[in-house]
Amino acid sequence: MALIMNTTEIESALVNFEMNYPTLCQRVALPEKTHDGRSCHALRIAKNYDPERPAVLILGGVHAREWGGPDIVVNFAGDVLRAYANGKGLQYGNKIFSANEAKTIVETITVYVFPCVNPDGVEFSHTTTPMWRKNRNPARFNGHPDSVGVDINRNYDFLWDYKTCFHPQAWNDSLASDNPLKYQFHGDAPFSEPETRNVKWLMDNIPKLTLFLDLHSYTGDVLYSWGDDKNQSVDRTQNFMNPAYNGKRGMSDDAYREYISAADQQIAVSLATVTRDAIAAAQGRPYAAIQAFGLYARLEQATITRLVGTLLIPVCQRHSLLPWNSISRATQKIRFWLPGIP
Amino acid sequence: MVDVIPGLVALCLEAPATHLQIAPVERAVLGQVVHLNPATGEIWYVGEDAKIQKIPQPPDPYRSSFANQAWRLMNAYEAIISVPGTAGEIAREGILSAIQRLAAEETKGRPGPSNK
Repeated sequence: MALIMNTTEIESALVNFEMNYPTLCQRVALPEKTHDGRSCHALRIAKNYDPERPAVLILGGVHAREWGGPDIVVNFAGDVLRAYANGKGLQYGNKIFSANEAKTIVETITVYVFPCVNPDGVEFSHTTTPMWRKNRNPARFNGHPDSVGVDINRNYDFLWDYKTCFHPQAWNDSLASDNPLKYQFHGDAPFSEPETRNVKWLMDNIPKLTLFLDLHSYTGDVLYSWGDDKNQSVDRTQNFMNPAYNGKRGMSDDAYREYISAADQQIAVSLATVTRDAIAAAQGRPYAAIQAFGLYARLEQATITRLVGTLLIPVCQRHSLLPWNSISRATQKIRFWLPGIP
Repeated sequence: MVDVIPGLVALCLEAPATHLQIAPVERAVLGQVVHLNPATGEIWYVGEDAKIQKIPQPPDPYRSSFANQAWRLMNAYEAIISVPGTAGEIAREGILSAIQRLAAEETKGRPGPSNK
């Protein structure tokens, strides 16, 4: 048995869950095939599914080389299903969840997991180039192997046109790149990639989507919105939708700050803290609960640039370019970025 | 893995309470955000489903830049004519002002009547 699941095993795990717990979960077929022709599935976990319940969406496998994500997401789903079916609780190191808590998850909310958003990239990383990060879109191939692919996490339409939206001094390869040779190539247009369209489709079609978490691998933080600039709760006009602030975002020491209501800021911090504390309680691993924008600042100070790579499975973080267009800031659904290579 | 999964479980357990907390905010701000991208003519607003709705603009039909810009602004006005609340009013006023400015610039750029 492989230590890390390959893409076939990830898909078959979802099939097995559906077969073993047919009243508790169903696979959700996603509309777009990948460039290599793979079909993708998410898994919906809910007993007596009711679209009026609040929903949680968890992603893994966006960046190919962050191998831990899909396994963690699959095991999370399996643990919750098994615990509920057996009427038991869950224990991870010193962190214990009661049987009632497992029941709360399965009976009072709906959990969607999409363990492997970028299966082409993950497969390529497993078999050919371990440090591969992007998908396998061949459209811009120019003879150089690095010219294949798009960074899925830069292909959503949140401030996609970074040269218009961000301050020129904030432009760097970590933010995004329009060079296909770069690992952060953002594609030819927002949602140009089937993988990002699959995520968008999920988000658009999940009723009552309340929480979203995207699992990456890098340093070990729990990141909350926003990721384009520091937060503020005073001036609503300073927001990512307002073109009046184009060219001003992304600088930590200027006047622009991204608006978040005080209430939502409190919710975001609280959720990040709860998540961090549960992680720490398991085995004592310290994670930081920070605003996503903080990642950039720390990286710049520490010049950590490419420590990434090696499969430091646990988690890391990623700056938070919000990954989709269709959830309004009005609803302020909370999103986190666990891990991710900046 | 043992580290991270409990974080996911704990986060899921917060969903019911979080949902209750954000619901009033959602209702309160519906229809209060409208933005027009002047470069593309695309309009964003918050729909009744609380998601961002985008109204793309079709390709420009006219030969002159002025006609196309005016047409784009009029389309934008039409698109948000029924957006309720203060945000809708502000957006409509903004578009009318833009049309006025555009007309003024176009007039300025043309040769005026001769004084002779």
